[in-house]
Amino acid sequence: METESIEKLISPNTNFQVTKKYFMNKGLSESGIQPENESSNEQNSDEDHDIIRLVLNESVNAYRLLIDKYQVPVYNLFIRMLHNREDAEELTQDVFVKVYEALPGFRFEYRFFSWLYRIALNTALSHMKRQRSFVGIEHLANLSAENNERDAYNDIHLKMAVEQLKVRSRAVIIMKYYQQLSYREVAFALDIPETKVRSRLYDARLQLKEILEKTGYF
Amino acid sequence: MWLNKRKFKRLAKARITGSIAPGEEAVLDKLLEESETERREFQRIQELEKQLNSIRITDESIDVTEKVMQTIKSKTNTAKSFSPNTFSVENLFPTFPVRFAMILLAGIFIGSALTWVFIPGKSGGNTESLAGSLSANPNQSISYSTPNSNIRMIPYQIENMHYLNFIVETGSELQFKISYNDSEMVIANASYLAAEGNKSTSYDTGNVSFSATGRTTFQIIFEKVSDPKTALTVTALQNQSVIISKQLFFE
Repeated sequence: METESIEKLISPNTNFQVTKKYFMNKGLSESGIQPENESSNEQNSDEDHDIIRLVLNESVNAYRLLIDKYQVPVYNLFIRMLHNREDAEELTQDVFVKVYEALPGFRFEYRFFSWLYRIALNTALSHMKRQRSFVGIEHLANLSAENNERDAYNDIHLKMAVEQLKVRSRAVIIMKYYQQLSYREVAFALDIPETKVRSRLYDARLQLKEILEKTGYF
Repeated sequence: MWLNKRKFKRLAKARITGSIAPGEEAVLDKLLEESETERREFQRIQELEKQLNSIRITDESIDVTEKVMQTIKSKTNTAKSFSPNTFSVENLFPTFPVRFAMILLAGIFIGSALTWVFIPGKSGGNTESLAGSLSANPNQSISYSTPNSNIRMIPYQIENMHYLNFIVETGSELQFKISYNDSEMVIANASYLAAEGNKSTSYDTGNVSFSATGRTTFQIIFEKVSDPKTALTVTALQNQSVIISKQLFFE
């Protein structure tokens, strides 16, 4: 998005300005997540808050900045939890509409990203409860082409084992290792203390170890 | 032996989750040294941790921006197109408590001069009066109270426009649905005048729905397009149970 188009997103009545550096910081990782760096997380959070204020100040178009920034990680969270691209796309749209409608209630002491994740994860878990369908692991055969065979082998086995975890354990593993959230962000998304996140992750790892031992991997 | 195994599990978990006390590190190291089984188990957990940390993440791309914005705009435009020149209460009374109080007073004042037809209001959770059709009894609003919610529906008429104000205070979310015959009435406006909690409105042919959390004032303005008496139905749900089902008549 061109820098000049920022002005088009700002209502004439607003006092807030989305800074030019927001667009210069667009060099985020593929998943849209900044490395775990306190100052860059703070800056990121401030920018999101600025956009939210714009949206609440009737610059509806500014909301697309948040969608652009976070739709990829949200979509991939749904794919990893649900293993259905159609459902994942539909839920991604639903979540962003839901989040927009909930923006008037957003509390600025939260990070938007963490709050978004919480809503997305709850949506995924509700959807899974409603569907109660067996998720086959055959989709894992459609991984993108891997050059390193050993890594591909390890990754596939690990992913197959993750699939067999219970939902609660699978959620923490996916959020920590696939979505690459910090302990703190996982804690917020799940609405549990950080110590409990570490404990659940440990228990999930033990379960993974048992599954991998049974499949002869270890 | 069993106690050692249990101790090992506790200490191994503490070390990996980063909560091990300094004095316990040496105890764990000793257990690992003494037992090959425990050492192998611990190594596997560490190896697994290493593999999880080195998973190669390949995210799939998606672009739902336009679809989402279209959905949002269609919801917003549906509300705005009813009355682009609606007077904004928020501009006059910027703080929520003042706004809420002013709207409540205005509703009570105007409600006393209405020409509405409905059943006399009974407060205190009398469910009989909150179901069925309204008998002709103008100049009264409908009140409904539970330990958790207070709902007032205040109808009134100004010239050829019929107003229905909902003034709600609730501890848990209420869903309202208003159904009407769209060949007899049209909605001129339906909007939140004040809302403490989340806002959610939806429109369909002959239906308008909204949610209320905390203190909420919602107003619907109808314009009658036919002469005979016409009816609308108000339904309120809380925790998926119907608590109000009322038919109101416009003269």
